Amino acid sequence: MKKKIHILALAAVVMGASCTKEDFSAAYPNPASLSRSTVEKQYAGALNTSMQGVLPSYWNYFVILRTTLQYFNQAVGWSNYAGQYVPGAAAISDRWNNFYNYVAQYRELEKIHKALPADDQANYRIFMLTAKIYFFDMTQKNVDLHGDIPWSKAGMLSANGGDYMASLPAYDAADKIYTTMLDELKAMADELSTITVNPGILVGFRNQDIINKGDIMKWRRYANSLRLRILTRVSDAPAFSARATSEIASILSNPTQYPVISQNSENVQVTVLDLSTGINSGGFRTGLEDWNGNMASKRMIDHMKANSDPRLRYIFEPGLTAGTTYDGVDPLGDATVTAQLISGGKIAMYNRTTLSRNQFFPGVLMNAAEVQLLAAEAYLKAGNNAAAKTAYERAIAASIDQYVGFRNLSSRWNSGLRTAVWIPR
Amino acid sequence: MLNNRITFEASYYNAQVRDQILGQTIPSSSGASAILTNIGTLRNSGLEAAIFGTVVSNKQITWETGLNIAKNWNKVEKLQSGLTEYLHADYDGNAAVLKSVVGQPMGDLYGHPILTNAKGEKIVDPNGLYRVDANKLEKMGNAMPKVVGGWTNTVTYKGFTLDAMVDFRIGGHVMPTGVYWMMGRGLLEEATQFMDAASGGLRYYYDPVTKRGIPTTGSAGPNGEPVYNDGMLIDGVLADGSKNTNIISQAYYFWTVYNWGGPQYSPNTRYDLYINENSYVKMREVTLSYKIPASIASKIKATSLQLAVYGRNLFFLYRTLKHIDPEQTTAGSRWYQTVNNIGTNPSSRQFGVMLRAKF
Repeated sequence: MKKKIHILALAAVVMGASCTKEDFSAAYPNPASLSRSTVEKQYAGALNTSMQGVLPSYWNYFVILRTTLQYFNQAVGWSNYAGQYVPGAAAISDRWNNFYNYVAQYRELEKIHKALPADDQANYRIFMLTAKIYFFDMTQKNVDLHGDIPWSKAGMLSANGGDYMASLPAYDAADKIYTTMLDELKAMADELSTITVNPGILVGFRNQDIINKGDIMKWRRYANSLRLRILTRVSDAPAFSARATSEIASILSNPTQYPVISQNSENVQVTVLDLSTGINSGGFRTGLEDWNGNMASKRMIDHMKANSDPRLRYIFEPGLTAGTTYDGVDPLGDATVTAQLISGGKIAMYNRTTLSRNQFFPGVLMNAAEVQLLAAEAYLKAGNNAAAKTAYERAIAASIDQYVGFRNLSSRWNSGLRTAVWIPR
Repeated sequence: MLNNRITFEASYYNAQVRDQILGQTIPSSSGASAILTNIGTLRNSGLEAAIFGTVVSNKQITWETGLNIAKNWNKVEKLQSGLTEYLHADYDGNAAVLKSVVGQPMGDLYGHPILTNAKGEKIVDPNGLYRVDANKLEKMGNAMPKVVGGWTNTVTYKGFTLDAMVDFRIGGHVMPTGVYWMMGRGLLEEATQFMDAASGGLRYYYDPVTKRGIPTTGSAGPNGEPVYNDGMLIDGVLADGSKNTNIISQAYYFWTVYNWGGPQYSPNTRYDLYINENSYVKMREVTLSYKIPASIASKIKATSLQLAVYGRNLFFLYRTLKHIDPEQTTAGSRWYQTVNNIGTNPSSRQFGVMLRAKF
């Protein structure tokens, strides 16, 4: 009987606390109004859309890179098979679609910004400048992969109110895209050197900028380093070579006005802070290791061994049954023999602690080593061999330093999971 | 007719479906990869006919039977803004596609044919297998059945009633990929062909230098290589026009030819073999029931009492697909998800006993 009273009492409480139909409808957002976003949120959202290709992810490594760039530049070793240099449709189309998914989100940011009142547009300028620098970085990679691409009118479906027939974009010529990017990057580098940001806006910017944490100096370095990269890539093309020579020289000779990334602490990268957020490198392991996608190539291993490269044991580790011997896959080797060497654990693999099982591996966009190598190339072309040598040595030093750093922040290293052949520093 | 012993019904329809709502894939460079929109005009015309009759009717036995047949002609008349075809599905990395082409019935299955040279000879790769033509898609079938229908029978004798229902479908193609993957892994009887001399396998040894199978009658190769009896020789020419002479093991043949993926992933995997006609005549249901006499039923105060045994999905009188229930190709709620058996559960056969009482 007592129990029954309890149940009745509970039922009464539940009924008393029950809600009306209106409460439910108020608790659910109207799907028709879900298109609203803000400059801040859209800024971070657009960056996040492109993270699959920035942080090491399963899809990017296994589906896209494994059978394309990893093979083409012999970054990895594998056993030969028929049609190996013809990439699967997913590798190409997913890379392409990922880029345009991001472009659509970037265009949405432009659309939201454009709809603001004029003074707000000016206030939020820092978001647009930095978003565009990043957009150019992503664009440059896509141009280098495909040549002419839809670009200036791409991703406009939302801006065109959903009229998809009007949103089919024309292709822009690769050289026109490069010219536009170079012009605008220079203008943005100049503008960022004098910009003052409203302190209230800056708070939001620091929160939403998942790359440089609102550090405007870093964005200036990013913009100028990107200019160096783009200029170097076209420096041998007749239409660009004069511009490349003078503009590279003006960047390198004026670090106050045009600062670049000169040391690892200035690297532009997405840092993994907390593995429980979506921004982490947990997919690196399966992405690189599955189907023996992490086997070393003979070309790289032999080069590193011949030069006693200290990075060898940070970037690679010997095969599981290879003792302390590092061997890469001979690309001309017999497929059956190679497959046996791989499955027998005789081939060195990409270091699991530093790389594939390092869930804190950052999403590196540009680093000091790359910028120093770009500088070295420019100095060499200008006949300044001493400066070229200095820059080159700095690049190598920065790279060694960075790989040591990667390993030191590895979750695997820090949890004591060290492979048997590890010789600690 | 004949004292209402025969009834005949026929109907004809001709309908146009306008502004069909479909998910249209668009280039992702436009800002989205697909959009749900009103596209497509479809024409459906058809004929449905049914005949019912009482074959036997006397005091002891009645036998009623009925046959119905439906035939639908379907044509894609127009797609949005000048498009000539609509892609419903792309299977396994462009191994096969399901699309609708303007002027054709909906749901054509396309696959890659075997690559041929200028003389029309089939091309065999150095590995001894046919190479599929990555740049060509050919129509290999259409998912729409040509005719469907059923045949019902009810025989009553004293208190017994026997119901029997037969369903049939003629024509229409499906691609039961899962069945062929079983083939590739040697799980089907067909995959035992050429496994030994008795089943037609050729005798050969593998020459590790030329990486080819060489026919032999001896018990070992010239350098003591082991001899196998599971050889197959594919009829075709190599890319240079010379005749293929490379004997391969049947295990390698089945493993590769019945594998996963389009030409970019598996250049020797042949989805053209996976697309099959799906026709069947199925014993859908048989029920035998007995109406227990009222004198017995009244003892438990029931006004009527009926005992029945039934079986559903019993057997096939005829079918073109041997290894699966031809209706088990439904992997989703859209019609174009009904041509493949990936991710579907096997169907079940049901038997039951039923007692029905009215009080």
